[in-house]
Order: sequence, then structure tokens, then C-alpha cells
Amino acid sequence: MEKILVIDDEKPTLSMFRLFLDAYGYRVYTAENGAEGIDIFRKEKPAIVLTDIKMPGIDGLAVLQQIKKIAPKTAVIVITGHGDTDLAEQAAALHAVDFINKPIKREALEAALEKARQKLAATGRNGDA
Amino acid sequence: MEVLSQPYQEYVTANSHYRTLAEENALLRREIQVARKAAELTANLVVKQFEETEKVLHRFQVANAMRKAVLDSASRISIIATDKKGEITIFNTGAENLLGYLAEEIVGRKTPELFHLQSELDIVRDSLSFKYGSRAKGCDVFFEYAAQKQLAPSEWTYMRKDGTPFPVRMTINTLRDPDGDISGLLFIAMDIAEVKRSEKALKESERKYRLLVRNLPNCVYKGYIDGAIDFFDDKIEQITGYSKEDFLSRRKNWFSLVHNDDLASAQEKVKQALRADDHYIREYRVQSKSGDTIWIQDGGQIIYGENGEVEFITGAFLDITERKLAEKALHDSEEKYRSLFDSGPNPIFVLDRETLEILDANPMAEDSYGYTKDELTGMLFSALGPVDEIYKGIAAFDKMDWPRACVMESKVRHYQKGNKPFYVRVTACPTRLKDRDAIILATTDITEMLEKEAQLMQASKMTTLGEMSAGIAHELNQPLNAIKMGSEYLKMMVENQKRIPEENLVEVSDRINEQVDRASEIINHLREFGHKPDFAKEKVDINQAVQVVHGIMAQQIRLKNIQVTLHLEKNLPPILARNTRIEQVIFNLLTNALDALIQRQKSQSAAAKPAIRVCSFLEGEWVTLTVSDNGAGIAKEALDKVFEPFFTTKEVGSGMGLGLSIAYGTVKDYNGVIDIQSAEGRGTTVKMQFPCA
Repeated sequence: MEKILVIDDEKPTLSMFRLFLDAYGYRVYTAENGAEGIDIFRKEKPAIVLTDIKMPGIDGLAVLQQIKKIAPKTAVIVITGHGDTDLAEQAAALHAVDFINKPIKREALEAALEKARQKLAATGRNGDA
Repeated sequence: MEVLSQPYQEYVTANSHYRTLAEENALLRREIQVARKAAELTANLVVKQFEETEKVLHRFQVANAMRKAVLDSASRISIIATDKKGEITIFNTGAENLLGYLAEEIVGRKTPELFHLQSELDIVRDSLSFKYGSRAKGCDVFFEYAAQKQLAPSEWTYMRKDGTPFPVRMTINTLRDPDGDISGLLFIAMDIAEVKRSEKALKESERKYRLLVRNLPNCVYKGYIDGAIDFFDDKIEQITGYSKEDFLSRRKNWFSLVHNDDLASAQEKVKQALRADDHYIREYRVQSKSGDTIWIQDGGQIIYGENGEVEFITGAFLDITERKLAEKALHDSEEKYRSLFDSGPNPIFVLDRETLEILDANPMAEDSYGYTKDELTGMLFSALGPVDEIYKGIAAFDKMDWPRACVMESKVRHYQKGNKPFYVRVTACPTRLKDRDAIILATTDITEMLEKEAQLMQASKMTTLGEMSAGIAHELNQPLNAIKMGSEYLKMMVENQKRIPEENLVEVSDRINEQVDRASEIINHLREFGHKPDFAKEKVDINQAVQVVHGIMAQQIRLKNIQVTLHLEKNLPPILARNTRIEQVIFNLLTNALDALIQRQKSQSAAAKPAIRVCSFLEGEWVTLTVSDNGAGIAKEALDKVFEPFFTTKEVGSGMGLGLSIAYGTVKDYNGVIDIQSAEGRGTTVKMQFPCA
């Protein structure tokens, strides 16, 4: 099963992600803040990471940078608020694979996950599945 | 003796040499001579004896006379007689009484020197020596003194046996024997201590009377029915500028000074007094020499002669100009205030202090409240508006000086006739009206002002909302996201014809339910916040207000990595205010704190972790709330102005400058105080205090 990590300071959001990603067949890890997320990342080395950008403490962009440092091939999808286009651009510059806007639509999530998988396939890094 | 001795010598000598008859004859003759001489001598002696007897008799006569005098003078007169050597021969009961010696210790033993002050004797001696070249010593001074015929009684000091001095009036006379030779002295002395005392008292009372007359504001006069007048002191000059001499001998008539308008009524008073009571008091104006008008209070007593004709009037003038001026000023000021009362632009009521019954109301009160004056009079003020604050104020009246004793209450809802509400500011001050404790209460219709203020506040809030919109959008997005994802998940599972595990179904429905509530709560806050302000009061839990505002802003603040700590004292008493307005104030304060921290983060590398601290606690009787930040702080020069509307230290476009001004107005509305302390670069603390509800 491919490992996936979701970082968001919103517990209800994390819980919903878990349902979705379970249904998609991922092994889901969640973290409520950036620091916890990086810890879990170091331990589990998931191929895909979804992270919220606006978070107290270490925010999503910082998480993205750190993860790229630890494992540059990781496919990181950033979650932005509605209309945070400049944040999305910054994330793109830091090699995020895609961004999705809250409230998250199923199509957008699936599209982003697909992009991530394609990217992983292109870079030759496969998950456990 | 001279006469006898020569022949006797011859006889003795002859006797031894001649024994003859002739000699015997001669002897006989001589014997006869001697006998004659002896007879002469004896006769002389008898005469002397007689004279002595006479003298004694004389003395007895004197003594008796003295004794009589002593008895007559109720034993308060001292009579002392001496012999010609000055030795005391008589010392009467009066002397015993006054001087404290017994006659037997004195008579034949002492001289009057004993009773005298040596210093007085020295003075007498000196004066005698100066005038007459006398060299009298000891007791002789009295003889000299008496001999100089100083018969007029003069004052001396006598010393009692116990050493106490007392004044005497004394005559010292010489006693003479029938031959006219001085045979002694007679001292007659009278104790005049009492006289002295009463003389002194009399003098004192005269002096006091004179002082009294001089110092009394009253000017005493003796007047006549035709206006002629005499004065007894110069006070009349102080009052009128005319001296008492100006009036003497009918030179100046008092009536000529009296103001024309007052003369008739003044004279009428006297006529009345003549008809009935003979005492009167009148007040009138006179013109002084310099032309000033002086008010005189004139109290007079008509004195009738033996035949019932008016002899004169005795009386006193009092200058009452100052009192009259004060009375006039009072009257003028009453007039003035009456006209203010009648034509004032604001409703004014006079209320009874106990019942708050309306005693009087001005035309504007009729206008504003829609009642006629007749309807208002007698009405309880509570029919027009709340009176709790007024009663509270009354309780404080007594403790304070006017004008601090006045109570002011703003934004009070009053009712016009027909129960139509409007907002007023109330000022109530204690006063007295016709010997009754009353309250002057004025109201100002501030409804329009409040509407403007409300509009302004609304504008300010809308700005705040605009500023907050990004944060609010983020805040709302969170529950929406969870709901969206939950519903998308369900849809996906249904579309893919997959079985949804029951626990997932429960999870999704729970989350959706919960997040919808969360979203609507945010919306409720926003709606409440967006409401136009209401000025009615309710009990507000300040902690709850903090929680609500914190709820709206928490996410936004957290995202800026600012730490907010709440130290809210539990069980704080509620305050009397309006929830939404207090929330707005807290909101404004938190927004300011936030801006200050962001400003600081921008301008410098923040040394300390940016933090906001909100504390609530009870300080004495005051519910206290402080909002502190360690942000940019406010410059000293700007600190005075922060409560002014449209003053802002923020960047152009980021604030209207109404936040603290509204906070100030709101806190004042609820009888609170607000204070700001700030150090540039170190942070700011705003402290608000409200009285408990």
C-alpha cells in the first residue's frame, strides 16, 4: 500500500481525508502541524504528502521546503485557501506537484493525486503498492 | 529750778557761817522765800499736773470722738493716733480690722512707719526735702508731712500684718495740746480697694461702651421729627461722607439725603409708628457726599415728652448697601435663571428630592415630552425615564461639593407621551427651592446624535469587517471544507456502488453536523457584530464577551504566529452594558494589538515572541479587563490623542482611527474608565474598568 501523509491543523479535515484516501487504497498518516508532519515524514517516508499552507507554527511552505530537502522526489500537494493564488505560485516555485483549493472537490483531489503518481512514475520512485 | 537753786545755796552758806538771830530771821525769811518758791513750785507743778490732766482729758475726748467715728464708719476706717514722739497711742478697731494687728501689740510700742511702704515714705521724704529742705528721719517725716498742711486726703498704701498691701485714702493731721504745741499725729485712713476696683470696672465698662459704639456698624443718632439729626460719633462720615458736625445744630437735614423714591415710604413708617407702636425699622436709600447710593437700615424709637409730644427719636443707622447689592444680585440671577429656565433650549425639570415628583417644568420640557405643564406637575419623574441613577446620584450629593455633586447620565431612554422612546443625556444637580430639597434636572435630546454615532460605529465596524474578511473567509472555509469532503466521499462511494462502512458513515454525518454548527456560529457572530448598536443595557459577562471575540479572531491571530493567552478570573460579577458593544470594544482592542505586533514584526526582528495577553479580574469594586501586547507601542506624543476619533498610528488605509475612540465612548457610556499605557517598541496595555451591575 502506498503511504500518504496529510498535514492540516483542522482535525475534521484530516478525518475526511482519511476516509477518502482509505477508499483510494492508501496507507494514511496524518499530522496536525508542520513539525509533527516532518517527524512522521522522516519515519515513514511517504511518497505523497498533502499539506495545508496556512498553519500556525511551521507553515505549509516551510514543510514543503524541508521535505524537498529530505527527499527531493517526494510528490507534495499543497492545500490552499480559496483565492490564495500567490501562495500556490510560491509552492509551485518550491516544486510542489500540485495545489488544491479548500473546500476540496473530489475531482480536484483525484486529479492532484493522479498528477503526483505520474510524477512519481516519471522520477522512478514507486511506493510499496 | 534755776529760780530755786540760787537762794537755797545762799541759805546753806549763810547757815554755816551765821547763827545769829538776824541770821535766823534772815533764814526764816529765806525759808519763807523758799516756801514761797516751793509753793510757787508746787503751784507750778499743780498747774502742770492740771495741764497734764487736761491733756489726758483732751486725749480721751479725741479718743472718744475717734471711737465714735470708728463705730460710725462700720469699723472700716483705721484711726491711729500717736504722741509727739510718734509712738502709737490709739489704734482703733478699724485699724485692727484693716491692718490685722491687735491694739495691744501696737499701742505704746510702735510707730505708724510699720504700716507704710518704705518706698512711699522715701518719695514723701524726698519731696519734702526738695520743697522745704527738710531732713526728717524715721517717723518725723509724718510730722513734717502733716505740718505742711497737706490736709487733702491722698492715697497711700498700707501693709497688713501678713504683708499684703492695700490702697487707702488717708489724712494725716497733727494733734495739738491746748497751748497749740504739736502733741501727736492722727492718721485717718479708709480702705479704698473696693472703690478702686469699682472705679476700674467703671472705667473698663466705659471704655468698652466707647469701643462698642465705635466698632458697632450701627451709627447711633438722635433725630427730630423734622429731619434734624445729631450724631454721636464719626461713623456717619464713613457711611455718608458727611461729618457729624455737618448735621449739628440743624445745619443739614437728614431728609435731604434720602432718595426721592424712598422718602414717602420712609416717612410713612414713622407716621405708622406714631399712630401705633412707637418703634420702627425702615430701609431706604441715601445719597452720600460723593454721590453714591447707600442703603440704610434705620431702627428708631420715638421718645415722648411729659406732655405726650414727640421729643426726639433715638435710633441707629446701619449701612446695608452690601446686603442690598447681594439681594439684588440674587434677584437678578434668579431672574436670569428664570428666563434661562423658560427659554432654555433643553427640557428642565425641578423635582422633589425624596419622591422625584415634578414640581416645575419649562416649556421645552412640555415640547420634548409632549405633556402640558399641568400634566407634568405632580407627575413622578419615573414616568418619563429610569430613575435608578438619579437616586444613586442623590445618595452621593451629600458627600460632594457642588458642582461635583451633579450626576450625569448619557444615552438614557426616556419616553414621550404615548410611550415613544427617545434618547437623552441627563444632568441632575441638587438645589433648594422654597426651603425644600429639590433637584434640577435637565435633559438633552441626543437621539439624532446617537443615530449619527451609530452610523459612524457601523461604518467603523464595516471597515473592521472588511479588514477581517480574509480571516473570516479562512475561518469559514474550514468547516466548509470538512463538509464538502464528507459529502463528496459519500457521493463517491454511492457512485462507485461501494458499501460505506458504518463507522465511516457515522464519522461523516457527525463531522458534517458539527461543522455546519461551527459555520453558522461564525455567521451568527458576524451578523450580531454587524447589527446596528442598541443602547439599552443588559447584564454582560465580560469573560464571555472575550471568549466570543477570541473565537472569531483566534484562527487569524494564530496564523500570524501570535500567541494569545487569556487569564480570565472566574465568577466575575456582570457589568451593565450592551453585549455587542463590549464585544466590539474587545474586538477593536485585539485588532489594535494584532496590528501593533504585525507592525513590529515588519519593522524589526522581533526579539520577544509576539504575544497578546487578555486578563480580566476584579479590582476593588471594578470589573477590569486589560489587553496587552508586546508590539510596536505608541509614541508619547501620540498617546494623548489615541482616544480622539479619526486619529490613527496605523498605515494609511489600514484603519479609520475609530477603534479606541469607540472604545472610549462605549466605556464612558457604561460609567467605566479606560486608560492606555504604552512604551514605544515595547508594547501597549489598554485597561478598562466597569462598575459591577
